[in-house]
Amino acid sequence: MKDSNGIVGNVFQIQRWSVHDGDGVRSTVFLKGCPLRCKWCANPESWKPHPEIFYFRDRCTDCAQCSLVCNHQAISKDEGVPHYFDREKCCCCGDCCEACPNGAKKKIGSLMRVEEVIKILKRDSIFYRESNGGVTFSGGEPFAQTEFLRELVLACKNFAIDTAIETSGYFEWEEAEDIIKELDTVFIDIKHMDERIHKRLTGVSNRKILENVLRISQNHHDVIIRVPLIRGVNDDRNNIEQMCQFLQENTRILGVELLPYHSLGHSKMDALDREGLEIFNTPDAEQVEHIKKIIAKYKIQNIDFK
Amino acid sequence: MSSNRIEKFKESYIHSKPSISIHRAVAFTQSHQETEGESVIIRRAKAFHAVCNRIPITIFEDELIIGSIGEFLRSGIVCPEYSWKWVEQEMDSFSTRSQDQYQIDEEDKEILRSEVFPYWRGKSLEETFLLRINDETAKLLIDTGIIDNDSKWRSAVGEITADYQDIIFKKGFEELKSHAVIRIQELEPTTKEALEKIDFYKAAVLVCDGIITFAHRYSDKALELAKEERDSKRKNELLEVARICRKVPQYPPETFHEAIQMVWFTQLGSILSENSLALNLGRFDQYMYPFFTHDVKAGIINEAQAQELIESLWLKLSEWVWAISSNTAQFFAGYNSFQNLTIGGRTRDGKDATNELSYMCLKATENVKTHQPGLSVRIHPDSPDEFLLAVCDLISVGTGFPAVHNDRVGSQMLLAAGLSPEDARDWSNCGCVVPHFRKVGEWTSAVNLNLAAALEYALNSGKSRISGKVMGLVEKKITAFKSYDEVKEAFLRQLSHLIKHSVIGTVTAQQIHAEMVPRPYLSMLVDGCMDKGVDLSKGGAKYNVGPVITGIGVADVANSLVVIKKLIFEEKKYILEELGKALAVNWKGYEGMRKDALACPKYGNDEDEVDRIAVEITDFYNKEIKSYKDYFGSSFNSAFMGISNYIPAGSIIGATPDGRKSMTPLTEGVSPHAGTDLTSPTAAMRSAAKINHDVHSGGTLLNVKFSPDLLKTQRNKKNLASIIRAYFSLGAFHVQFNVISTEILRKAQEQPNDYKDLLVRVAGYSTQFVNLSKEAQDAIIERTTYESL
Repeated sequence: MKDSNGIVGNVFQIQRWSVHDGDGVRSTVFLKGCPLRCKWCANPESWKPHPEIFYFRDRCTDCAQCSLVCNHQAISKDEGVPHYFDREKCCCCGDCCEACPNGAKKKIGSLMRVEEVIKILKRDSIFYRESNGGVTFSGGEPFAQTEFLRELVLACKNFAIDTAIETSGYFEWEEAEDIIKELDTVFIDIKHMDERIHKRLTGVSNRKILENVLRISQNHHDVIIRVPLIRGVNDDRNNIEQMCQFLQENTRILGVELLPYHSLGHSKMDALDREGLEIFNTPDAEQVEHIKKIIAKYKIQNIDFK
Repeated sequence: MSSNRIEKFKESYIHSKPSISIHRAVAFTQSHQETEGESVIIRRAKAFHAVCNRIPITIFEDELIIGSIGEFLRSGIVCPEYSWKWVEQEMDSFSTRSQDQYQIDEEDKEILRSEVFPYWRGKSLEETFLLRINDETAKLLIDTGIIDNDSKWRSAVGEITADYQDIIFKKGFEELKSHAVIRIQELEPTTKEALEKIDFYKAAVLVCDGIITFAHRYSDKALELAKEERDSKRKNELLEVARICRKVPQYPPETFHEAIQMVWFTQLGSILSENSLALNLGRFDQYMYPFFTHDVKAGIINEAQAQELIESLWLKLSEWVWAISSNTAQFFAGYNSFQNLTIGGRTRDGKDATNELSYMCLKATENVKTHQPGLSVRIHPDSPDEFLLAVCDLISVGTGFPAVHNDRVGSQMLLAAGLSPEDARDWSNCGCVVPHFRKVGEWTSAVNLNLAAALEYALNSGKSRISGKVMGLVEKKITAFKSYDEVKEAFLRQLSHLIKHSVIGTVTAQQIHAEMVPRPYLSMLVDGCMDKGVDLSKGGAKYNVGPVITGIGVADVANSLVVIKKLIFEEKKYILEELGKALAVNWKGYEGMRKDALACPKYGNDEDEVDRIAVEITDFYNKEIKSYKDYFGSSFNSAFMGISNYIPAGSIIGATPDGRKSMTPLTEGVSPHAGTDLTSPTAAMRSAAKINHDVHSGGTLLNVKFSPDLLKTQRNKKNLASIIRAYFSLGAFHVQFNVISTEILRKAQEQPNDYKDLLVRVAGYSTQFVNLSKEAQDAIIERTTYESL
């Protein structure tokens, strides 16, 4: 995406003091837009590539302040339902969020220029240096904004800031290859080995993802496989062993990090008036240990950024 | 884990209630009745001598380090010569008040009422100060929360660091005494100076005799107990303890055990002489190290035994409770006596000074979890990573200790205060976060100044919003300000006015201190006094550094000024008149404006727009303060440390433009306002580091609260170590961490009995959470946690 001043991207959060997304103290840039629709997604506000509005009904007091500022008739004051919020008409300008005295509305995502993002990232340079930390690009799927991402990564390189990426693996290799070579660390997800199950749970086939895992590991030394671990979905011995076999035979990776499922996505879906998530269970600590043992059996390192 | 002995002490310590012992007050008063007509310094030395001879000797079960200021395991004493009225008025509610309760016996109360207080009527420091202070200053200074220096006229000064390295361990009190005797013989009483010096040296002889006698009485008592003791192991311990007390503090120590016992007797002397705050232990790991290495090498002691002795001292330091008025207790909550002990740092010639004892001190605090000593570490670029990680380990335990200081900035602060480079490198902490040195005489916490008051007077025609009275300079109406700069200038004028009266209050107090309460015992511990023959209170120390005026509420004022700048003069969304009305009614009916005010940039989020205002204010504050000289001709110094005083200081301030509501707490030190630093700890640190720490020789303080979840793993501790190093690279001086989940704090509030040993860092010091008032507890809970990030 470009505007008159150059390349812009849609960013929905820049989190400083991020300590679980790679080594040291990091800042994580969350880029909006994702081709996957995982049924356990923790950040469903990252799906769409354009800005959106969170509407937390429990905080709304029906004071109607927001309807007064809306220029698009997206908030009507119909009888008995003072706050009917019409997302079809909403242009996501965010005026209503500023007007709300109760914090019931929040705009998610805004267009930022590369320099704006870099300016914020550079603020913590001294903390990156002392801790061997850096910047992590996350999402959504960061490769969905290839052009923007490329500029951000190159700018970080210019300032000798370490870079990492957290990707679903679902992207076109040709478009991403040059960026991957510049990145210091790559976190890539393997959600399930079975193509059919993968498609049902995420909306896409895993074929492209597994191909990208192979390519990345051939091109890059510091690759970490991430598995969002969901009880009864992908924590069975068969799936884990298949994954380990695949990794052992075909790749060179640093290791695997298991990320036990949590259900934070549901309340966000409600605030977006959207459906499509399923309720899953978190594997218990014992099961996680058991899976770690299987992984270790394949001489693959279990990595933990806790 | 500690030894069984220590575990047992700890258990009985936690379950004992602070109680008032009246023996010191009685002996001190009786002596004064016997010495009418003699010179003040001699009278005070004789009174100290009498205390040492008359107060009860108490050795608790199984103790290795002995000596106590009273008969209780946790004793507090009262010093009527400084102030007594509050004791008379408040002692009936000592056991029931909300903050810092004490037990006191009915009979003892009667003795105080009939035998002690009547003598001091009209003679105490408090009464004299109130008589001498001019009316205009008094209006701002006396129990107002605007400018506050009651710790300098209701109690003694404290704020010294005993010089073990060059005086106490080298000479012992016997040599000090002989030196004084020689000087008396040499001096001819023919001049004013000689007369005063002779009195000083006579007083020196008396106090040296006093503390030696006190130790000998303990030796006798230990022998007596040894005779009755059936357990042969304990019998031998008592005999050894008796031998040690016969030797120290009269003569220099030769073993680790002797040295620690000498430290404790020296400390007891300080407490009994004036019962004051911030009687610091200085660089303990440095001056104890030669004894440690010697004893280990010679096979006299092993590491476990040394550890037990260190932990014994830690418990001893926690036994003394500082008895204070309920008003003062709001400012210095939690029975805290601010006995600071500093470890790590560099040697006088610039090498890394970390040694085995540095680690053992960290371990002692982790083991005993007492609120004393106030453990401070000095970190420099070449501090071993292992040491910093050990520091982070202790931080993660959640005791609020240690306070972490930037070694180099501490030295810079002392260079700026006029110390030689070697002495500046040899600094240790005083009280909470004041860089100090053992050869310095300084009032390190002379006045607390409420910056938000200056802003209130600027915006409210010189009047307090709470009382409606004119307290500041006469000011034009809020509607008359034409620009942001005019508002800022008005604030700075009001601030200068408060600074001027802080100076007046301090210099007046210094004058009567020199007249009325010379400090013959403490003059033995601080280099310079013996050589010059001049008391500490008269400028006898080698270095005299000017008094420190501490600013409270930097964040609140910066946040308020940026709101005026943005909403009124830049965006022109509101006019000053509306803002004035909103503040007058505590935002009621102005919720929309308050929301806009809250949405303005807040100090602590690394936003230059507001952070630069904080820098401008603090720089101005420093220059203005430095333009004044104290009673001895030294420039005043600035600080942003703050004790728990941001709570009472807030209670006298109406609503502020930053969206803060009337009478709610302000902010301590250079910390962001509670709940407003939402970006990240790194952003809060960057904001705080923008302030020019090196010029504030009285110290700066940043409080950061962490959830324990963020510090469980080694990885996280390494990250913590890194952000400390990064913060210090940015030029900041001090940071301390509260590592407690709000969930635990709420539980502790509900079930205090289950959380008796839960330590939290209040501001500049740690204390048991359950010892804090509900209000202070709530303020701690409210501070931002970074848990959810």
